[in-house]
Order: sequence, then C-alpha cells, then structure tokens
Amino acid sequence: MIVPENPRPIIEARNVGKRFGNFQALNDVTATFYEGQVTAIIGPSGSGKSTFLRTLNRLEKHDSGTIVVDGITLDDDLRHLDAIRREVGMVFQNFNLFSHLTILKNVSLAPLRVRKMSRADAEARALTLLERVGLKDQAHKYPVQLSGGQQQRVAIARALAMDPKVLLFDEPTSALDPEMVNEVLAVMRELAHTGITMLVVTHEMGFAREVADRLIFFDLGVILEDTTPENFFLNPNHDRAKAFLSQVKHGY
Amino acid sequence: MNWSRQHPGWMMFGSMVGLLLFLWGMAIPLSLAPAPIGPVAHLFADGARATVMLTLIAGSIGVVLGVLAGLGKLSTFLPLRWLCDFYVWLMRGTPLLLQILFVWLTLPQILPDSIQVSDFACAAIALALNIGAYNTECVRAGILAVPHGQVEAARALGLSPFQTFMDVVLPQSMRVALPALANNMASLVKDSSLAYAISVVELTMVGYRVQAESYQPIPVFLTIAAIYLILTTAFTTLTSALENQLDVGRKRAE
Repeated sequence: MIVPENPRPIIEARNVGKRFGNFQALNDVTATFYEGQVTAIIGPSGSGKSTFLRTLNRLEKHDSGTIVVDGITLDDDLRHLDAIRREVGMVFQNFNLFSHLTILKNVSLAPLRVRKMSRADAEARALTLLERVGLKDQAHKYPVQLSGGQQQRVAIARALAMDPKVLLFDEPTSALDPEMVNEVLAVMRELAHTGITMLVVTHEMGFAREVADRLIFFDLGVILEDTTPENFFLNPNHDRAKAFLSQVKHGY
Repeated sequence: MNWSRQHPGWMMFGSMVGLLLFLWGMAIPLSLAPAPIGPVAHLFADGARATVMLTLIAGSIGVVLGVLAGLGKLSTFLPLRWLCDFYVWLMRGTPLLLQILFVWLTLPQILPDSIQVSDFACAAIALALNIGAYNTECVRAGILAVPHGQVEAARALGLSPFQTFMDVVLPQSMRVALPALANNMASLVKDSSLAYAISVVELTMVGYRVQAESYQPIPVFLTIAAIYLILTTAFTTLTSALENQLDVGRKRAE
C-alpha cells in the first residue's frame, strides 16, 4: 500500500462486501485513501472496480464491512449520507448532465440548493469553474448542443462546484470519441496537481501511469495489486495482472 | 409552424389573450346574429365562461392529483401503491356521468349541513377526480422515462430526494407526460358538458335551454359546436406551446 508523507486518511474501506443476487461483486475489499492522493483503479470488466467506487458515496449500498469518509461512517443514517455526498463529487461515464438545464444551471444547481448559496454567487462561481475547464463561452447552451468531451468537462466543473474533498471518476473517458479523450484528461491532469483527492476508475493506462500516485488492480471483486504505477507496469506480482497488461499494453 | 416552434412564449401568450378576448367579447358579434341566437347571445357567453372555468379548475386539481397518484404508484410503500392503483382502477372503470351524479347526490349527505356545496363545485370535484386518474398514468410513464443516471447525478451532488424530484425528475418527466396531459385537458373541455346532468349552467345546458324555447335545434347546436371547437383549439395551442417551451433541452443547435 502506498502511504504518502504526513498521511491523513480521507476514505477508509474495511472488509467491504457487495453481492448482486448470486454474483459476488466485491469480496472483503480493504483500502485506505489519503488526502491529496491520486489513485487509478484498473481491472477487467466485471472486476468490481466501478462497484467499489459507487459504494463510496452509496450509489450502491455495501452489504458488509465499513466505509468511513472524512470521519463519517457511511450507513443508513441520511444525515451521514448527505454530509458525505457534500464532500465527495462524482463524474460518470455517461456524463449525466441534467438535459433540461443550461450548462450554467447544471453547474450552479447543487451550490444553490445544497449549499444554499445565492443565485448570483452560485452562477458567478459556476462561470469561474467553466472558465477553468475552458467552456465559459458555452454557459448558456444545453448539454445536447455540446460534444461528449465538452459535456464531460462540464460534468467535472459541476462536481467541483460543491468544493468536494474527494472526486470519484467512473470511467470518465470510456464513452468518448478517441479525439475527445485528451481534452478531458488534460482537465483531470490539471486537477491532480491542485491537491484534491482523486479516485479514477479508468482504462487509460497512459493516464494512470503518468498522473496517478497509486494504482489499484481489481479482479473478481478483490484488490490484487495495490502499488505505484511504475511498479505495476514494470513488474506486476500476479499472473492475472500480467495477462491484463499484455492485453492492454500494446500501443504503449 | 416554424415560427410557433421558435417562439413558444409568444404562442402561449397569444392563445391566452385570444381565449380571454373570445370569452369576454363573444357576446358582441353573437348578438348581431339573427334569432334564435342574437337575442340570447349573453347566455352563450355565460355558458362558455362556465365551461372554461370548470375545465381550468378541474384540470388544475387533476394535474396535482395525477402527479401525487403517479408518484404513489411508484412508491415502495405497498399500501400507498395499492391505494393509488385502486383510485385509478375505480375512476377509469366507471362512467363519468355516474361519478358526477354520485358526488352531487352523496356529498350533501356526507357533509354536515353547515357546509353547502354548489352544483358547480360538485361537477368540478367529480371531473377533477376523473381526469386525475387518467393523468396518473401519464405522469407515471413520464417519471419512468427519466434516465436513472439523472437521479444518480443529482443524489451524488448532495440533492435531497425531494430536491432531486422537483429540480430534475419532474421537469424532465413533463416532457414525456405533457402531450398526454394536454390530450386529457382537451377531452376535459368536452367532458365538462356532462355537468349539465346536475343542472350546472354550462355551454351545453345553455344550448339545450335555448333550443327548447325556440324549437330551432340546428342553428343553436351548430353555434354551440363552433364555440367548443374554438375552445379546444385554444387549449391545444396553449399546451403545444408549453410543450415546445419544455422541449428546449432536446433541441439541437438553433
């Protein structure tokens, strides 16, 4: 496990289990994530990596084990859940922008409703964030008028608008045309250097290698490898990881 | 058509103004018509106003009922789902005329004597309950059509279930539900004529009375039919403009 200097744990998952019917999606997963750490989570389809990410803000309810986010235990208490969701932002594979709202309103909705900001403040902040992802001039368009890469950058701005301590990315570039992958990765790369904690489920090996501090390899609902990207790519410990790498590595 | 698509706000404004002008001004041109219409033109105007009031009141309550019962049908709380299922089953499975008569005859018996319910209110209640049941299915279909990712995104941002519903699910479900709701509303303009059975003086009742005195059903009922057509046209223009207004998110670049 990779522990930074002066570690302050922000997410602690202990023995987390999750099953869908007869399928054991997560099996006794234990991992601690530290403030400021950028973790890439990789693995084959159905290995449980997305499910794990989604349990961390309870989009999937875990069946066993404990998850503590920033000192708050994730359980059935709605106040705990609300508190955690305020600290944890999420970016989805399919962007999930609110299709009936303009870009500006997409980004300003949560601060307006959840943080109770004034409309003027929320929109001013939204414009600043949109400028940061290079989309200030698109603020008054609707999501459907934007390209996939632009939509995903808006989704990142929307998550940032809540000023989260942690950002979860669930395969953020998997639904994009190859041409648009880089513009999203560029925004994520820039974010990684700001000190925000990031957990990124991804198939972008180049990104994982270059940007992540830590790499987790999932298979069959368990963490097989938890190491630095360099270690993982140069000498993986498990045969399953080697086989995975030989499949995805060509081109690097 | 293109113009009306691009300016739904003006279309809505226009059809509203048109409807109001028609309701308040129709007695003037009608009074120039020959007997049996001209001399009693004000009766036609009163009847049309009653019909529109009945439609608007029952229609508004019906939309609220439809949203509540539509949500109830999607609830995980079983008794609530059963209650809403029962409501829809009951109102769709019995004749509207029976429902109107039932409300009119039983309400005075159920309520204490101090509360007087007018014939008009009875008709409005029965019509609202009836259209509410039909709206329920439209609203339910609309809510089911909202992609789950939209709800997940809202919840992940920290919006409460209620905020998620009001800010995200309801507006998006209306894009799907609105054409069907509009259809129900246009039917309501016509269905409100059944209120004549409990002596509410609405448009059909006016026609019936005027022809009974003049023995000239053809011009009288043709006039009534024309007024109904103008009313339903105004309502469908209004709702299709509203539809365009809500459609914004799906439009491609202008």
